[in-house]
Amino acid sequence: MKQTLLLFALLTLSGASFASERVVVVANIAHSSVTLTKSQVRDLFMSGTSPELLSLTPVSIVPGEQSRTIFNTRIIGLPESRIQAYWAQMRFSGRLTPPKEMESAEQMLNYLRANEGSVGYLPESTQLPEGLKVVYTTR
Amino acid sequence: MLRHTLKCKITTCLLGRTCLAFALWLSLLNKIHIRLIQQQVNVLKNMSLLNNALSLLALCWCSASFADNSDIEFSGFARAVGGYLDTSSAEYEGYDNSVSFSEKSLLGLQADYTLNQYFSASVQVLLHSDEDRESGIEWLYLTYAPTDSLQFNIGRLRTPFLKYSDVTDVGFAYPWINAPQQLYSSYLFSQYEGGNARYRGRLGNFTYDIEGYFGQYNDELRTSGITADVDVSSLYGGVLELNYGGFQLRTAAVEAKTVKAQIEGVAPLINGLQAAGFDDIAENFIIDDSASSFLVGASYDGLKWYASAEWMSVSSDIETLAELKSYYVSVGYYIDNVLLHATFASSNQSVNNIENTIPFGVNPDLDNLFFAVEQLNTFFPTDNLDTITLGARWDFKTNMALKAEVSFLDGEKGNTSFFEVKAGEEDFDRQATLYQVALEWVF
Repeated sequence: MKQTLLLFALLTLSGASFASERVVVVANIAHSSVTLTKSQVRDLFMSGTSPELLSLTPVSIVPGEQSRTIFNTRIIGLPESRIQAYWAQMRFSGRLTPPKEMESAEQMLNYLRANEGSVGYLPESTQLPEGLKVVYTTR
Repeated sequence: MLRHTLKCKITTCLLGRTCLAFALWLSLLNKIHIRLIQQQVNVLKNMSLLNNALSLLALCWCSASFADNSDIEFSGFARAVGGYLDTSSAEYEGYDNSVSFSEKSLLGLQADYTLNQYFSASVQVLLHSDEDRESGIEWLYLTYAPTDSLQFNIGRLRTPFLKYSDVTDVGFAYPWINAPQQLYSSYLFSQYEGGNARYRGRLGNFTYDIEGYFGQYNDELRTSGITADVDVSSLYGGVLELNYGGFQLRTAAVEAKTVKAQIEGVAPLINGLQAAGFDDIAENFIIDDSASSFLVGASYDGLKWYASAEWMSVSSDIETLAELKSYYVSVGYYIDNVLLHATFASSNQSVNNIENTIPFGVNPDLDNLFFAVEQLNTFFPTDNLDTITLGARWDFKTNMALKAEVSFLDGEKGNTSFFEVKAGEEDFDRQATLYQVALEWVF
């Protein structure tokens, strides 16, 4: 019983600390004034559709990374399993392929810096180098 | 080397590019991979399960080594499905009262070859254990995507109609083991050879998808124990999809002009009827008509739960295929990596009997014809069936899921109700329970 309570407390705590984390959606774009809405970010990552007059390429991070979980929860609004099922449908019906997946935040930063028009997401605490701009912050 | 030589000859005109794409497509995919896969298919057909597994491993290994040094990307999906039906009177979806893993288990391999920014080619090969289906090339097409939102495909393609109809073989893509049969086994023509155009766009906070396609279809169809050779010279249709966040509205239509079908074993009867002067009856068995389907669907996908529903109608001038209307409603709830879901599905087919005007008792020949028509009448599908399906899906890895499912089948006595009733069991009440377990895998 004690153990169960402890486990429950741990789960609740980890859930709480997790909920306070935010991710920033970061883009390598020349237009410094551009920001995106949540729905624009969602559509960019789920159907590859860029907002008007922009040509953006979404870049994701591997499943299991905390920033991905937060991104899925706050922006996509789907559990990981549903997202995986969705991409299986898109790939095997020849419609779309999922965004490239980076192994770590560091790799994400390097990729974003090297590719103009790329959009990724990172923990809010990440130090951003010059040339990258926050276009959306999760609440 | 071949690629290098060809690349030097690139001309800027579209036709040149298309030819180049075709040449590469054919040389690379056809010669190397398809031959390899077809050998595997032949081998697989004649081997035991263990051997199958070994050759699949070999095939995957070959694929992986190809992928290392070319622009070909390989991916695939597999499912192992076991099922048991709790009646000895009939079969449903090939299942009977013995545990079977051979009805739905399959392996699919896809190769996508990217030529350049605009052109790519794809092939999908399916290895199947269902005796009603043939293994082979399921998709084979060339894609031209002039912009991010516009795409043209030509080749052999799956017909897009229901929400999951072009991925029914990819069990990982949907919640059930068996997508509602009342719709998913009854929509018209799963494949076609031809072309499509797809456009995806944004309008305010909505995204939309429009697809139109045109092609032809030629295959052997099996349903409720009848086999028919079907030939559709022009098949066309469209899909419109509207998305707002997790909400989706979908509608689709497909029309098959001039459906020609030859039902196995019916030719002698038609000749007999015509020889005896019953041309009007014979006419009913000569299928040279048109058919069409219409669909509307709505769904919501969220973080905690989903709900989805689709309604479909199939109608045709074919006298022996009465109008079918069917729908399902499904809801699911996520608990961590486990999805619990419940689905109600129902189909209603209007009764269609061919009026038997042959006088009975005049002479033995006419009596034979009379009985033949009567018997054929009982064969035509009257697929009224209600089902309640309860299931669970556990995504224990990002690319693997375990599923379990129970379906309570409630048909009508005297109807086919998607069952294949065994000889001598005509009194079967069309009530049964189907139990299934599955492992779904994508790679």
